[in-house]
Parts: sequence; structure tokens; C-alpha cells
Amino acid sequence: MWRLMKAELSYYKFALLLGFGVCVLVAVASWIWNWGDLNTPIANSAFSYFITIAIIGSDADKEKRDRLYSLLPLSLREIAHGRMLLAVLFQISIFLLWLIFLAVTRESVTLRTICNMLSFSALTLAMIMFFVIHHDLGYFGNNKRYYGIYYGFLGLAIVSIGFLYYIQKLQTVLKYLFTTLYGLPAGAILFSVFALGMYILSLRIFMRRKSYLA
Amino acid sequence: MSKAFEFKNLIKTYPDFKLGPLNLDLAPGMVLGFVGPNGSGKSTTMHCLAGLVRPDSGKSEILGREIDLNDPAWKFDIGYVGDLHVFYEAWSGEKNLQFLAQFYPRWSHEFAAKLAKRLDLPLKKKAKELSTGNRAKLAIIAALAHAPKLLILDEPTAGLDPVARAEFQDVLFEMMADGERAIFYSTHILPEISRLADELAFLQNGQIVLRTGKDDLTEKWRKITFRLSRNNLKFESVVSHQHEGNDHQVISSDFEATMRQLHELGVENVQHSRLSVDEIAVQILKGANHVATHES
Repeated sequence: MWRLMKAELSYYKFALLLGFGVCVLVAVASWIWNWGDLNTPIANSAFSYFITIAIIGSDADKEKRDRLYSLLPLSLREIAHGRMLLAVLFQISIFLLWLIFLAVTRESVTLRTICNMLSFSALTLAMIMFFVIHHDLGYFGNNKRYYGIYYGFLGLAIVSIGFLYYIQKLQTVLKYLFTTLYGLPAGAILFSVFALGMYILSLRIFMRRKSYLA
Repeated sequence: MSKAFEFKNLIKTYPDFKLGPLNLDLAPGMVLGFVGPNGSGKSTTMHCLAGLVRPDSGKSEILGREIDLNDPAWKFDIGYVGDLHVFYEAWSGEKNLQFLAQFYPRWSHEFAAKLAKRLDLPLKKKAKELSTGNRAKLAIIAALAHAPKLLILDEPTAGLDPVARAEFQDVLFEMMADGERAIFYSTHILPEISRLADELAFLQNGQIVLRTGKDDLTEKWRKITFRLSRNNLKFESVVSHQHEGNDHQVISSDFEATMRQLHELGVENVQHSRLSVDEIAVQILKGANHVATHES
């Protein structure tokens, strides 16, 4: 698992350095020219993170990395962890950058700030897991149970959003989720558990794929 | 001694294709040629054996160990050259081999370097800059450098020039010298198989229609010509029968049985000739159902 991650880090070092470099630049610029509080580097990091991971993911898919890994004497669990760790590590390094930003700018660090950072990181990772799960389900053969669970949740989410919009509560709920709950310890824990759940689901789905040809 | 590999009632189903139930095994020290037309299930069989595709049911073992994707010990003993060669494209061949080496305790850098030289592969070039043939060479080195006990080769020489193809065959011969390794080899280039294989398995529509020793095959299958005034005769073990007037030409899958029948009929001026493995394969796969009935 670590050997895979080491290889991925080495192979994508240029893309990762570029993506991280943009985050650092914006953080430094925010500090020097006082562009705003922590939210500026956070918002920029999300943009940079998704673009970098999307480029890496698309490249790995094009080069059929899962097939290469599946031929190695590694268990599916090791491979499943190995292919996800790069995204997790990148997010952790961005999280550390935010902490450095807070230390350098001497912005007052409140519990709310930390919860914001944790919630944001957890949701970012959950979003990446969502794409990974979607990708892996394409190699799932006709296992209706997992398709059912996945599309069931997706359908439920869409219906819930539609229902909330219909009863004109959508804005209230979104506001609660992304402003109030987002900055509370309960919210940070909830979003982290959600991200962890998505991570475990992505592992299980990878390990049950019918084919590792691509 | 454990078999190099064994399938018991292996089944893999796709919406428009079903492989199996497949029962197939291979003893150590043997080379099994796997022959079949496009779409017959050869690659699917090999994918199941390499752990790239999960069968729907059945039992698969490699060197006595069950093919369990969560317990990869069996993968140390296999080398696989597939229908598609996958690498880190922006890395050189050398760097790709270094990456693979860290996973195999038996990996020999010396062997890999020697083989690259023999096959004339520029290891410093990036994988994405290699030609189809050179990509095949890199895949071959990657499959052989950890001294696997079972080689799974799915059209391994596709894209190779004749010199590299011959060199590769020589390497395989050398690897087989210790009598412990086994090769499961699928190819459309049948003369290649005729040189290497001890046995041949013919696959048609996802089913093994015939498995036989290569020497048995070339011994038994003959083209027989004779003159006979009667035309409506049914000959034993004959898979193809053509006649023009009283001149007959048959292809027999059991030369001796057909000859006995011809002698009983009092046919004279019988001439016969051996067929190449290539010609036999065409006959078998053209008339798969007939042969299957006959063999069973």
C-alpha cells in the first residue's frame, strides 16, 4: 500500500507540486496583501485540489492503473487503500497549510475555525470518494444489491433536495448545514463520519468489482 | 506435486457470452497451447487465471493455492503477458521495471537487463514512446524477471518482429529447462505453438472442444486420398470429405481407424500425408461439434 502511494507520489510529483504551489501562493498573497481571513485560502484550495485530483484520476484511468496494480502480488484491500491515499495525503497537506496560515497571520483560532476546516476537508474527501465509487460501479457486473444501495441513496438525496425546495426549506437547511452545523464540533464529526463511511464504501466496492481490466 | 493451475467448473458469463463450465489443468514442466478463434473466450480464461476478472463460479487454483484476490501469495508465482500492456507511461522502461521489482523477492535485475539486451529493447525510453513491439518486449521482461513458476501468455508476441519472436521463444525454451515451470500460451500464430507446446487445448464458444498431446494430434490427423467409385459412404473419424468423380480426399482425425475402414472396403492406391498443426486447428475449429462428439 505504501509502495503504491510512494510510486504515485513520485509519478505525479509535478502535478501535486503545482496544485499545492497554487494553494501556497494564494495563502501567501492573502497574508501579504491581506485579502481576507482563512476562507480565501480555503476556497482556493478546494479549486486547486479538485483540478489536481481530477487530472491525476483521469490520467490513472487512461493508463489503466487498476489493471497494473491488480497484477501485483498485493491484496485488493492494499490496492484499494493505495489508490486512495494520495487524495487523502494531498488534503492533509492542504489542511497543514491552513494551520500554518493561521499561525503566520496570527488570526484568532477558535473552535469554529477548526471545525470549519475539518468539515470542509471531510466534505472534499467525501466528494472524491463519490467519484471513485461511481467509477468502480462501472466494473461491477450485474451485482444489483450494490447498484441498489448506491442509486437508492443518490435518489433519496435528490428527492430530499427536491422536497426541501418544494416546501421552501432548502435555503434554511443549506444554511444550517453549511454555516451553523459546519462550524460546530457535531458538524465536523458528522461530516468526518460521512467521509469515513464513503471511504469504507469505496474500499468495499473496489474489492467487489467483477473486473480489474481497466 | 501440485498442478501449475487447475480450473474446476469455471464459469464466467457476460450478457452475450458464456465461458465454461471449464475444466482445465496443467502439470508443471508442461506447455499448454490454447487455441481458438476470436471471441472464443481465450482472453477471458487468461484474465480469470491472472486475477483480472472474477469468475461467476467454479474453483481455480494455482500451484495448489486457491486464486483468492484478497490473499495474493499465489501471484508471486505467476508471470502474465496480456492482450494489453500497462505501464506508468511517463516513466522509462527501466523505471517501470524498478517499480515492479520491489514487489517480487525473486526479481533479478541482471536477468531483466540481459533479456532487454537480447530482445533489443531500449530501456531508457519512456513507455509512451515505445512502439507496439517494444511495449510487448517490456511486458515480457516484466513477466519473466521474477522467475515465475507459471507463465500466462496471451498472444505475447503480437507486434514483435520475427527476430524478437524467435528470441522470445528461445528464452521460453531456456526457462523450461529445469522442468518446474509451466506455460499456458494462447496465440493465433500456430507455428509458434507447434514449436513450444506439449499439449493443445481448443476452445470454441467458451467450451473446450478438444485437448490432446501435440504429437498425438499430428500423428492421428492425416489427409488421405484414394479412388473409389462409390460416393455415399460415411467414413469413421473423417471431419472433411471432398470428391471429384471417383477421386476422394478426406481429412481424418483418426488415421488408423479410417485406414482400417478403407482396407475393409478394399480401396487401393491410398495415399496419405501429415497435416500441420495450423491445418489441424482450422479443421477442429471448423467442425468443433463433430470432433467433440468423437473425442468424448
